[in-house]
Amino acid sequence: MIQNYKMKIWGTAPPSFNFFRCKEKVKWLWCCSFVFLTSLSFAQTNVSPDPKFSPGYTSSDSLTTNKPDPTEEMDKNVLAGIQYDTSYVGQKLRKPGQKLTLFGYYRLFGYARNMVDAYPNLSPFERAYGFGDGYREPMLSLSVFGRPNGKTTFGTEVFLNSPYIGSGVEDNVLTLNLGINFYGNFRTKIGNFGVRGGGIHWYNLSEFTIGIYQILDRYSIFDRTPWEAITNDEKYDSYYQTGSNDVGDLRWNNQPFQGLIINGGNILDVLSFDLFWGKTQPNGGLANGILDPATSIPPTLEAGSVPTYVGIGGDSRLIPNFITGGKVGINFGDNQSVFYNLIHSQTALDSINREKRAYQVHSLSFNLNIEDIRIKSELAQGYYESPNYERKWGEALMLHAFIPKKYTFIPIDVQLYQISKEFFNQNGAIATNSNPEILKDFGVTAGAIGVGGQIMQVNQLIHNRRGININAGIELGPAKFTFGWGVAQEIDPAATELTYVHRINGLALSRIYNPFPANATGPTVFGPYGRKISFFRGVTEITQTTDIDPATAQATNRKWFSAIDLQSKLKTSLFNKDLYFFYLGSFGGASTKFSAAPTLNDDAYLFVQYHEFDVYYKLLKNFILTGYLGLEGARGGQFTAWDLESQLPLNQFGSGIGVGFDWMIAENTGLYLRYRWLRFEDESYSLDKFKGREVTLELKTFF
Amino acid sequence: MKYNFIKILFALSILAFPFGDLQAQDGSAKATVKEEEGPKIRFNGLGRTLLTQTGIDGNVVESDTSTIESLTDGEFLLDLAVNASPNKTTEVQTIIRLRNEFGGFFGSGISVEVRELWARGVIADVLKYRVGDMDVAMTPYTLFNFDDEGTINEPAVFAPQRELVFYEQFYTENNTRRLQGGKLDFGLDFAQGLRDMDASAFIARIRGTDFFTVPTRIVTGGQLDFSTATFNDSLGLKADVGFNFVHTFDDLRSGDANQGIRNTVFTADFDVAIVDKKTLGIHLTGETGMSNLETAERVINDAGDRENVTLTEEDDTFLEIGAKVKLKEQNLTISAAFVDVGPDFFSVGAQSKRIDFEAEKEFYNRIGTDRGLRGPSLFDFGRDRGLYTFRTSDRLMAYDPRFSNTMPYGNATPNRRGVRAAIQYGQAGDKINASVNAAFLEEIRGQGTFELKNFSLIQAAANVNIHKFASWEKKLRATLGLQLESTSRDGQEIEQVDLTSNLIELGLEAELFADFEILLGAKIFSSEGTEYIPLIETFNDVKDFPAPFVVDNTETLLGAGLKYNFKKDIYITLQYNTFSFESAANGPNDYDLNQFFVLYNMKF
Repeated sequence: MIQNYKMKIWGTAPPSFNFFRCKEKVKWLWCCSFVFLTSLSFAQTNVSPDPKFSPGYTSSDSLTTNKPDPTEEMDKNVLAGIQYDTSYVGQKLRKPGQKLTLFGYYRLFGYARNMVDAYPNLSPFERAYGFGDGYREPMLSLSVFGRPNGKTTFGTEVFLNSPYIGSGVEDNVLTLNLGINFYGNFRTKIGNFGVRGGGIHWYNLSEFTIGIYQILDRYSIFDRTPWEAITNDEKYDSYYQTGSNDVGDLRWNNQPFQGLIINGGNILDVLSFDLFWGKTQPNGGLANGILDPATSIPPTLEAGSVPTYVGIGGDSRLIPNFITGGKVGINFGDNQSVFYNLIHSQTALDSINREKRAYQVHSLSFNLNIEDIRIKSELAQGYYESPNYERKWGEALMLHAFIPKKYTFIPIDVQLYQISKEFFNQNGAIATNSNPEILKDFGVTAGAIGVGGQIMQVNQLIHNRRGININAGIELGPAKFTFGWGVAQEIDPAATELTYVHRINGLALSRIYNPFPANATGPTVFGPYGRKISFFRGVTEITQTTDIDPATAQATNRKWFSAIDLQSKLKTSLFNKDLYFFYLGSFGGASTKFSAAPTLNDDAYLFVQYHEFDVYYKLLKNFILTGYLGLEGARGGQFTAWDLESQLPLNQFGSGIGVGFDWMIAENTGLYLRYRWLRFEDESYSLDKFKGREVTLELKTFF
Repeated sequence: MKYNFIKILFALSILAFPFGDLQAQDGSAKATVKEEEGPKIRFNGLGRTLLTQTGIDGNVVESDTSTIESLTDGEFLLDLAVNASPNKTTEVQTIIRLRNEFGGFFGSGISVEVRELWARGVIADVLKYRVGDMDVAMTPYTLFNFDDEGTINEPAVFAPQRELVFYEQFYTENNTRRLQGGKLDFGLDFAQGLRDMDASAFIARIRGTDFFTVPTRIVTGGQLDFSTATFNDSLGLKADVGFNFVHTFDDLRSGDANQGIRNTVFTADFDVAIVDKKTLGIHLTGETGMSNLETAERVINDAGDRENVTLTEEDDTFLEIGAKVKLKEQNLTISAAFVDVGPDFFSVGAQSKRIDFEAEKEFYNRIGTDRGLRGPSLFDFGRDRGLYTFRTSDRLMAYDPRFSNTMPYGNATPNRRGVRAAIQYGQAGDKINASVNAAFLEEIRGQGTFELKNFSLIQAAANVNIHKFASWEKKLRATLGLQLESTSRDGQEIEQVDLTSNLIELGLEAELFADFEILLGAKIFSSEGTEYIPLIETFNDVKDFPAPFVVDNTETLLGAGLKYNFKKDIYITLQYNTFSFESAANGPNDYDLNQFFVLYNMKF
């Protein structure tokens, strides 16, 4: 059987597969990457890193994942939950005697696509154009900030949108962007206390309780985000220097939260605490999924359509569904701390609240600095229970050490972890969608990036795994290189499906298959084989594994997962104009046996690779040319599902080519064009292919 | 004639312009000097975070598989008042409400609406006008939003939720009613005899037509108030006299409606200060007037023209006359009045209740296996904004005799004759301040029988500022409220009525740290006996007397909480309330409610 399978893949006697014995396309990918990396190594040194971006540590040490929280840098601040740029909004706020301040931005986002070769069920929406890309982003954001007195503040963002479809005012939208936030604080002799009410608050308790997997710079910055600032080449310089392109983004490492937060600090000079009660997104609704792809496609791509989440309004909103908890601990020394953290989430499953599902996490989080070795650790224990799942406690243990170059020549960070499949939390940095028994309670939820055996980037923690991640970096003149490697093994055989992200054209696809269309109650599943799922600004794909127990349909092997991230950045000049080259390569794989690097061999389930090249050239003082090349490949092994027709596992290749410009047409006003050719094909699954073009034009101005 | 009144008022106002020292009624319409110098656009408003968790327990849900055990609710709300003064005599204000339901993320559960919109100003420095939303109150028999039942001197722990309800329903301390229309007023000062005269007139639409069977309903009215100069300086003899008029009518020319009501109320009120000296004040007060209620139909007459004809018509009168003695040095005020309100006296603007006992409750409206309708209770009065209304009703609204039987429609309750008396001692900041109100009334016309009901009502309230006795800096205050009410009717067994109810309110406010208080409160309500409640149909007729209303139950509401005041009107409070309903006659339907809530209220 295995022999036959290999014959189908290679057509000849099965070779011993490795990185460089793959098909031509894959070889080409590797060649490009190698050439680019080599060219960076020999680049001319004519630009010095800006020292202001590397406070407190050497530039080399900044090349690991031990990077500062970007919210601490640059001219951004947050008032009453509203993020603003201090450079000009700050001037408004400083005017005396005003209880209320208004500021915001106008963002016209023109979008067009033409899918010349589309998935069958897209018709007749292959070609579309309009203003807005279907995501819920305001055309005019009007921030309202109030300070009734020195102790209290409030803030909200009024959301205005017009699709400009010539229909008059009835299609215009006036609502709120995120919600309404209220703040209060008071000082006493024993400490300082604060209260936050309303929401959305961007909130963080600890990585394993309420936090988010944060990756600083291992992504392309060719496509702009709606919340991005208006910058000239500061964005690219910041990405080159610190790894962040939108420094100060409020969403960084925070989860949206609604409710009440009470916190105390400097109690007896060292003690701090948080108490909260409210809802995070999983407590907000979105029960019962729509799995019909046709219903997930917007009937017309009318920009700015505001999705409404069925299950939140009306009676069901009143059914108890909340999260509560807090933390208490001490801060000491140089940014060192020890905290006990707790969350408890509870959701009623029936209309009378007799049946509930709940999960709880208790953790001790440490931030220590021992002889300049920074140690971040979190030791947690949690459980999940529901009418279908008996309460079982599971551990999540993580130790992350950041070793400066004075000990190891190059800065290295090492992360060790072990996370039980019984550990479950929808609000933390750990992806906990891999326990099939728990997954039965939820199915695939809207916005989920992956389920089952997820192939992710280095440092993304997933439960039911024990593993290690290592990152290192080095600077050679103006070129910066980082390397990340991770390997992990399932603790128990569990995953019967593997998921991986389509990074190259995922954003463009998610604009076609909106993950949150009006009246959505579940994930948007699309594609001719129903394997692709749209999430916020991305697309993931699920494939089934076949080495399962035929009687129980459960996994029989503990899978190994490995990942490698390679990144290089170069800032140079051409005709005395700044020129930036960025490369990001990622490799991921799942296998039945240990493999130090992702690969496709007899033991492999899946092998994916991504290569992204960004280039930015400052042609004029306020005009930057942008370019992008993205390539991705995904190949299934012998233990993944085969196409019934071709009798082969998946064999995908995707590419994206982009050009555009950034034009600062006035102070605080920018014009941004992006044109992208996208292409995708699975040679094994004949229907799984598309080809098309997408163009966006963004005019944004702050006031 | 009724329509001519407006015309007369208008003519009077025009004629009055050239005479005397003219002024606006109150200074509020005219921007102050400080405001004139300030920005032309100002912002104020209210912000609120409210999170509640409510649970139910007790006999009624023991074997119930249809009632949810607990409910979570909440809202985040910002009322942004934008006030613009384009010039020194004109002012425009709107309140834009931004609201986000608890649990709505990224655009869901959000609403943006206009809560209030009005303009006001002064014409020719004489005539004050206001259009749009306005709060209007006249006298207790004409246009008056009388107090709701279920509370006498409510403990402070329950106040935040009640303030929230009152804010939502536009209730004010002056018993105003929220209307949408236009209002004019002006004043005259005189040199002799009369000291001044104030005149006001308003018109408002209180219901729009559906262009089918429901016609537009309009209320219009006006006041003329005269104050005399002091006739006798040694005694301080002077008088205030007012003439009031309110007319509520359906415009039968709107839509296809062909039937509607006309309700007209004329009254005259007076306050004669017989003695008004530094230590003593003796006043003769009162109000008298009449009402007319008719049902009109729009028909086609013999000539083929449309005209309104009266189908039914009822008139009645009322009289309230009394005296008030103020012992100013003793901080004591004693008053008593004789009242006689005719059985058919009807005033839409004065008799419409705040609590709509037929409204659906927001929480646990029906409970138990048989999904029985849960009656409004002390718990609901304190927190359920869905029970309350500021709107008027064209018939006497339903009421619960347990909570208010003597005067369920305020002072203007029809079919009552008797005596009301009151004693008030002290001021709000004194060591002790207290008040007692009593009413001993009887029916004028029997309902379903010739026997008449007798009513007695005693309400007492006291606030004791304990910290002032002990000279503590931190506040420690105890509050007491008490209501004793009984109703009786003689006759044969089927005619007999005997209903008593008692309400006790106890509260404690203790300031632990600066601006940080612990609040405790209890309300205990019991009622026992038998009563008959008439069923009122359209146009205010008694339709039927359903089965006897037999009760023997006790309601207990306890509350405890913490409150931190950031500033006046800016506070956060965390509270736990528990409520129990026990019925001696119907134990299986006993239930308990409990509530945890957080309210962060911010007026700015």
